[in-house]
Amino acid sequence: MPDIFDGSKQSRQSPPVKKTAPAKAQESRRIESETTLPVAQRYVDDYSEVMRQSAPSESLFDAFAPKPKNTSFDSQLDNEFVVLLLRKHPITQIKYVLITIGLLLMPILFSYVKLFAFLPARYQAAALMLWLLLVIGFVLESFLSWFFNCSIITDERVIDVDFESLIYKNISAAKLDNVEDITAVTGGAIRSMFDFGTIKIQTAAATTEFEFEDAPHPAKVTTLLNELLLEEEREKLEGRVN
Amino acid sequence: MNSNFGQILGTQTVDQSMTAFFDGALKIIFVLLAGLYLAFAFVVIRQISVMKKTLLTPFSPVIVMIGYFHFLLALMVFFLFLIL
Repeated sequence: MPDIFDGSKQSRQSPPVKKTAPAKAQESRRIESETTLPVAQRYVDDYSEVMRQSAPSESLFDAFAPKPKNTSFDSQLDNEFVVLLLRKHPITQIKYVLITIGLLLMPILFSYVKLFAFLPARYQAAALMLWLLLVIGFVLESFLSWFFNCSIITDERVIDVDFESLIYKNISAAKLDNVEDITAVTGGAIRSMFDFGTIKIQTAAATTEFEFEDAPHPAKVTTLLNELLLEEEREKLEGRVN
Repeated sequence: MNSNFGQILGTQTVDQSMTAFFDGALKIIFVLLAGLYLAFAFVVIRQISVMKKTLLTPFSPVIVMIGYFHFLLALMVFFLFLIL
């Protein structure tokens, strides 16, 4: 008779991150998961080879951030653990860097062709100030768009966070139980060279398809999702459903 | 000679009027542009507020500070254009 999950037992906490060799950290977490955690909840390293091989992400700007530290989202449940945070591969931001460089060089070009020579000197300075302000705004907006547009995979759900413009926000979430199909598409020389691509997830939820665009290591993400789905199936069979 | 003097005076007066008009129009245009950018900077602050509530990271306070700094910069430029 499978154990029925008892909510009065100690809830899962964020696994402690110890600065030890990876094998020791995993072993200590495994022992902790076996002795202190309820049967219903297993730490992700216990069933995921991808996570066992990935150290918790310490950088704030990782595009592929396994087990990110001190990172959560607003609809996260108490017993939900962020397994992976994905953003677009940094190489996709090169075009914004080039545009910024071009915008910064444009005043020099304008001064050579004396485009604004008809303006009084103080207005030329004002125009330059306004131009630099616009460039700063462009850089800030590009960074915010990259940093906060992300995909989150937890041990219960997949969440897609999209801020498409200044005033448009779209957050889609689907339980792993509803995931039906996972496809990773990597096309082109640049994507193959830098190992990033689009991951498409078909679900039975309200949002029928999730797309994680230009995500790094699509093969790893696909493998991780399959491992999470297997664990969900195991939980159902063993009666460990949350 | 009096008529020439009168003509010269008249031309200078017209020139000064045109220059003053041009200056005034330029000032209004620059103040309007700075005002629009100030509104954009305010919207960016609101956007950051919504974003950091959606995804909570240790970097969020830094982004909030950058947003406010950007807004202050836009405000300074706006007032500078007003007194230009």
